[in-house]
Amino acid sequence: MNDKSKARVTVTHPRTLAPQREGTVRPALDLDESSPVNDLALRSLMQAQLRLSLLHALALAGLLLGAVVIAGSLDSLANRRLIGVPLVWIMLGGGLFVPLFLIARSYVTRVEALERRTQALLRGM
Amino acid sequence: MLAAASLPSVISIAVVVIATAIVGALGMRVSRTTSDFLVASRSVRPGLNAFAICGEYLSAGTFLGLAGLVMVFGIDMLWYPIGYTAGYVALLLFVAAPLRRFGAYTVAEFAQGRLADPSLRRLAALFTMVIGWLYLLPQMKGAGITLASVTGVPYWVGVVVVGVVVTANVAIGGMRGITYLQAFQYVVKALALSSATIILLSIASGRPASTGIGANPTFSEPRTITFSQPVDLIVSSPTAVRVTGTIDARTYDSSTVLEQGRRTIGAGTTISWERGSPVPEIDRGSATRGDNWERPFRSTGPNRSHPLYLSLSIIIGTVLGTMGLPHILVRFHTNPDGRATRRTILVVLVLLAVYYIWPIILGVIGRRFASDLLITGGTDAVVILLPGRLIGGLGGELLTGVLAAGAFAAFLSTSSGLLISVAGAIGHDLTSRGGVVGGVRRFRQGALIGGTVAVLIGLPSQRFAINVLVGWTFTIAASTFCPLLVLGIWWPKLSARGAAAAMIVGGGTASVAVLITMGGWPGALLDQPAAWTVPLAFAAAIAVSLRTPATVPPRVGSLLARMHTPETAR
Repeated sequence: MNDKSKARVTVTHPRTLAPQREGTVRPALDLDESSPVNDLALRSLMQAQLRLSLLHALALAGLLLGAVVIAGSLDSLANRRLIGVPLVWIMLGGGLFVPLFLIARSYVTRVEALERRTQALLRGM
Repeated sequence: MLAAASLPSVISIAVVVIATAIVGALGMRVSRTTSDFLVASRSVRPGLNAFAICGEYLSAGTFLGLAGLVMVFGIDMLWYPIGYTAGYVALLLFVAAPLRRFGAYTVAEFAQGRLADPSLRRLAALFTMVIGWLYLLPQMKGAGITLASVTGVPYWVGVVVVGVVVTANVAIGGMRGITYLQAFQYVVKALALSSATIILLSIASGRPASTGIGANPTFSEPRTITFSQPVDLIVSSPTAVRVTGTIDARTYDSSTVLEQGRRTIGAGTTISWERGSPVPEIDRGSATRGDNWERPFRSTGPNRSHPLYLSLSIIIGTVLGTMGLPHILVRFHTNPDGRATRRTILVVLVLLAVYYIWPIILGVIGRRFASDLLITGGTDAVVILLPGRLIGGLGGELLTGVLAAGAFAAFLSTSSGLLISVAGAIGHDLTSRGGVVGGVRRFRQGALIGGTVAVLIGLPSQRFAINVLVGWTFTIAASTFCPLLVLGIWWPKLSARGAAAAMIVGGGTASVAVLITMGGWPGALLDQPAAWTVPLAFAAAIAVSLRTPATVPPRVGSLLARMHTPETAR
């Protein structure tokens, strides 16, 4: 082996101004270039995705607002203690993380199911 | 001056710094292309990426700052970790997968690609730099005070150490090297905090308890404090002390009684307290004293008449700010596809939840056993100082060493991520003039410039509280990138002008709000102007977009399709 063969070479495409498009395959759903059927499929997919997101955002906002209201109004939470720690500290210091995770997991499950259905629909076309 | 007692801390910090340098150097062997440097060639699995994201996200602000905040202001500060975590749920719902599927490297590239306007890329790069540098300040400050606390070296040493290590690491290893580094540093941080907290908690719970978990703190040992500057103290009950200097304009050099109420301490005054004396607090214009510290929405006062608003604005600021942090967003691009980014966030939520509990507990312990910090104002260092207060001798030193190592892991990992974003903005986005741009050399130059500026502005930043600095960062991120991303991903009618308006209006108002607080408007220290600057930015984007439909990019449907269809359907 001579020195030249040891030199490291960049083998990727040079960066260009435009964002990189992955692969050369066009999206199956393309509003501008494809059929009215695809147009409809994309619109309904986006709408369904947005609906899912907004629904879960509502749950998120409800959880946080609810926690604010409960922390502020329920004196018993501040007075009652578990191993010396007021319940309200337990709720805000750790308790909220469980429902936060559940909201996130519910979204992931549903949005993935939605995307699988859309894909199946497209293959069927 | 290097105290011999600090040897374990010096060694453990050195180990973290050297390990960081080694992992970074190993990264050089695998980082060769620009893609490696910026997004680790998009090959990072969800689990690893989640650890790296948490390594990057959990900064000085939560390792040191959160404990200090809880110690001073009590339960109302728990909204911070809740908001920091909820931000990832919002990110999951509206941004993560579509942004990943779009396939841009940075937020700036997203702006240009989505809206077909190169000037937007430069505008977004500008805010990436502002956010990055502003967020680097608390990391630099944390490093400075940590090294000063454990070794007695001047503040600037820690700033320079972190600055040099991070700059070298980013310039050499780029993103691929840093993914492993940050995952490693999450583990260091979490283990340091959890083990130290458990040890300190078991010792603290064996000590005589005051009422409640931390209300009405008393001195756990005799303590003498010299006030270099005049300060107003709130004394909760008459306290016997020894004073040399002036109180309420009267000169003392004797034992006396501090009467209840507000007492003005003159500069250069020295006061000695007995063990068990109630700890007075600096007058912050907020009633976090006594039982109010333990109860929600009680931190009221002259400038804090709406504690409910304060809590809500903390939540809004942290949630929306998390959605716009460029160094976190770029990490999602390292996942192979949109589905993997979603999985990543689920793991992130778990990792955050098991982390935040520890600084909160340390803040509570700190209020009882390092309560003199409430007077001196050095609460940002409470995590580092606690072992020395609770455990004497070698045991305390070792534990201090563990915590100092964890703290340095926090500074290094967050700073690395931020510097990658800043370097990318300088090396690629800001200077792009069309055609082939960037390259590894430009990225390295960007890292060098970014790191140098960070050290230079970090040096005079000691006077700002860590969490105040973090709050400013989140405010600007929320007011610029959050509307750009959310509208760019979901609203076909967003025009290039509208996006520019959002960033200029949101970033402008947020920056003004930050500058006003920086100037020292005292009551606004904890304010989160994001509660009104973000809606303003959204409104600007929508209003301007509807008036400038001509600058909606062509083929917008195709762009949206790319973001919203799974990769496998393409």
